[in-house]
Amino acid sequence: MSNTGTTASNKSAAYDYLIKLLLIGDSGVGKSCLLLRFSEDSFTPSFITTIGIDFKIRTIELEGKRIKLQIWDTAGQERFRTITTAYYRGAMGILLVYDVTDEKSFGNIRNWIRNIEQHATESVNKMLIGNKCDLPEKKVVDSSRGKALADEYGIKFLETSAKNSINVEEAFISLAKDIKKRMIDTPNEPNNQTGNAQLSDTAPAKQKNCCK
Amino acid sequence: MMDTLPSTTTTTTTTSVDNDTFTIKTEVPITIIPTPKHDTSAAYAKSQDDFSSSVFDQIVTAIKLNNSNMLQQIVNKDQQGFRAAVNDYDSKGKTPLYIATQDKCYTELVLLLLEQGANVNKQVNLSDSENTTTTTTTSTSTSTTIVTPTTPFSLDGYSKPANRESVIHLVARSGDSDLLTLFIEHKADRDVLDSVNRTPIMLAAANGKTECARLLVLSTINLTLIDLYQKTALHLALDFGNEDIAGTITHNGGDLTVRYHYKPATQKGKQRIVTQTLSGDPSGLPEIAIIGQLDRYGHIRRDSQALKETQLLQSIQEQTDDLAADQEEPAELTREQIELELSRAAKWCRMMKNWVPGKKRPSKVDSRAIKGIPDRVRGQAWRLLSESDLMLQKNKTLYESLLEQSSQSELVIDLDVNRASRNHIYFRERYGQGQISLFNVLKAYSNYDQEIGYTQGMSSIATLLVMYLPENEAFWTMERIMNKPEYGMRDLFTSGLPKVHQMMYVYDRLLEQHVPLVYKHFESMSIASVIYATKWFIICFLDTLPFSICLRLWDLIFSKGYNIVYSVAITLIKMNERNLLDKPFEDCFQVFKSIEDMKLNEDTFIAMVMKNKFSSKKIEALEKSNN
Repeated sequence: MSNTGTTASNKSAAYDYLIKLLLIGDSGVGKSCLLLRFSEDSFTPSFITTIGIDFKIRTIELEGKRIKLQIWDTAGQERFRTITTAYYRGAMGILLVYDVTDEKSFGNIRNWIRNIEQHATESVNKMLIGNKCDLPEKKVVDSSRGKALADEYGIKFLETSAKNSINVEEAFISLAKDIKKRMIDTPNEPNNQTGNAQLSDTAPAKQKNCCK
Repeated sequence: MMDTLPSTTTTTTTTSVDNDTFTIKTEVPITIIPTPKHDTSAAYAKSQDDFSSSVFDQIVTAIKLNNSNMLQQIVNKDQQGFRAAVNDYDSKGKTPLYIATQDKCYTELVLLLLEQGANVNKQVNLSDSENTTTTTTTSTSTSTTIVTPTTPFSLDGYSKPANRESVIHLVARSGDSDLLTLFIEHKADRDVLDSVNRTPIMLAAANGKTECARLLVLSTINLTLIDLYQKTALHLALDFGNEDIAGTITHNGGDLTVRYHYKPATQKGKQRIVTQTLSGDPSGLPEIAIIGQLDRYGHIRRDSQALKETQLLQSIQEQTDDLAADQEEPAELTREQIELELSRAAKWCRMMKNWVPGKKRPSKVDSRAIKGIPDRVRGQAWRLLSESDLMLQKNKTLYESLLEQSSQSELVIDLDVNRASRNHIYFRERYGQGQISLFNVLKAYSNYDQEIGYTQGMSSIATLLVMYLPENEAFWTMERIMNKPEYGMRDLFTSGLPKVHQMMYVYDRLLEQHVPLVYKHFESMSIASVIYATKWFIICFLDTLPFSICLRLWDLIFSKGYNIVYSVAITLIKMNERNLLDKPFEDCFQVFKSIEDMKLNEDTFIAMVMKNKFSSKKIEALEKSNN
């Protein structure tokens, strides 16, 4: 991910910290819908295929600090990885998304994890998301299996519905909290340094206007 | 009623069940020779007043009482006898397991039967009096046996048992998913046929038993089997309008092509499709009163869609009129524009009349294409410009045969077909004609070029072509766009997307040379062109520029070649140069995202693109400098 250090010093950025997140997972699991729900609180059932990469922004407040989340969305189809994996390295947190009604998308999570191991920084925070939990009658991946897989990798797990706005907020914010804890609250502990020094993006909030 | 008399022996058993202790001291008949026929009701009545009934009768009694404790006692008393009797038939040809399943006994009781030797795959032989679906068997002179159903195709037939069936058929039909799970765990044959060749999934599909269908499909079954009406489970799901089940089946190995092409045979199935289209379900698209809300190309106007969706969300009925009144109608064509387009169309018609595909283009084609090909002749002009006609003439039946093959890419194509141009009237209906054509073209291409199969983004291009050309012509035009050297889009879609990377390099050099300030600004902001321009190049600005301008751009691509997209990209940057220069990282992307909202005049924009046109020599030189 590109260095946005200059962003913070600009007039349009009113935030204390910038956190970069990345959404990955098979095609059609609802990555773009999750992002749209989180960033604009809306939903469209006919989301156009994401081609390459894209991102959206939302600023949240955590423990009195304004945190700007820059969330990168990626194309799910494997052959786009030559483009998308370049953006793994700058990510501080990664949401691995599968579709609870699609067994294959769950099975592929292991491949996505391997991708993270290859291309992301070692200490990146991860979270497993089982999306489309509003369709219990079509559900094929039991929650316990999602939980077990997340436990195996020692990461958090949530089932979400971008459509019905279930757990979407919780997922992004919980991941952001973990990152804040790792990089901002205890930045000097081992493994808390990512390759990029994104936290130098921080700038006094008083210089800035509203980021909207 | 009994065919043979069971021999008996005397036993005394003490059984402990939970906290109750029963002592049974009686003469217990034990079946030594399996008796094929018992009369359940008689046995039930009889066992009420004496204990001298057969083990089979006792088992049936316990089942009729849905009493697993009692069943357990029978086992404890004489396990061997139990196991010998548990697979017998009663006078109606039913096994105890079947009776228990039919009576919806407790799962623990059914489990006990299974654990004590009940054969989950033993088929029952029901008499016709049980209201069954039957067949007639005709032997022909060539000694092959033809089995035909005696009744016409109807749901009624699928809601009844066949003469011969297994318990798994019974639960699939009734939708008892707990027992189905149990039977699958006990190795029930999931592909077993009943006497009219129906598998359990067919019965679940016909009767709308979603959970059972899901369990069956996930347990890995054969989805290609057909019953006596020549239907697969998918056909039946569609016939009976069970959309969810059809989805489950196609996502787990069912034939997606059937999903697109099969016209349901029952009123229920047809009705379901109509309802879905109107209500928007299952896609979730809200209902839209279409008339008067389409632009001239068939897109539902963005403002009207947003308006309608907002209304639906908020359910504020009384505001409807006010909002509708506030809605500004976008300017349609003026009278002058219409006249101009008609006169141009006439010129194109005259020109195309003498245009032999593959021969030299008429001299005025290129200059006229810059002015925009009139919409009514656009498809034909694209076909002639791309020379897809030649391919079609050379390979007359190839398209049809490509459609007949199954494709590895069907699932991902299906996914994208459902989200391509859903705001266009032709593609809106799920599995409607527009989606069928789109699916066909993409599927045929995936079989034609198996190295690519299908890459996301191709659906956008195919959508555009299908709007203007009949299916097979759209296919061959797509083939030309991919493979004809002046278009050469194929490598945008091959593994690793090599042309995307190549184009980014060329584009960066053009940006550096022609809009150096923006180039430097982007460099300093680490704005990589791949982030925003990948989409531009892969789908030729279809998601970026207003549709009317995209069409003009495609007129240019077809006449001048694909490299014109570089000029479009540079034009867009130049137009927004001042806007971009003082903007931070994120705001630059905001500029790109709002291009569609710029009130661009088509002619002015195209003129600017032509002014920024790069020679093919220049592009080639840049391409070479990358290698």
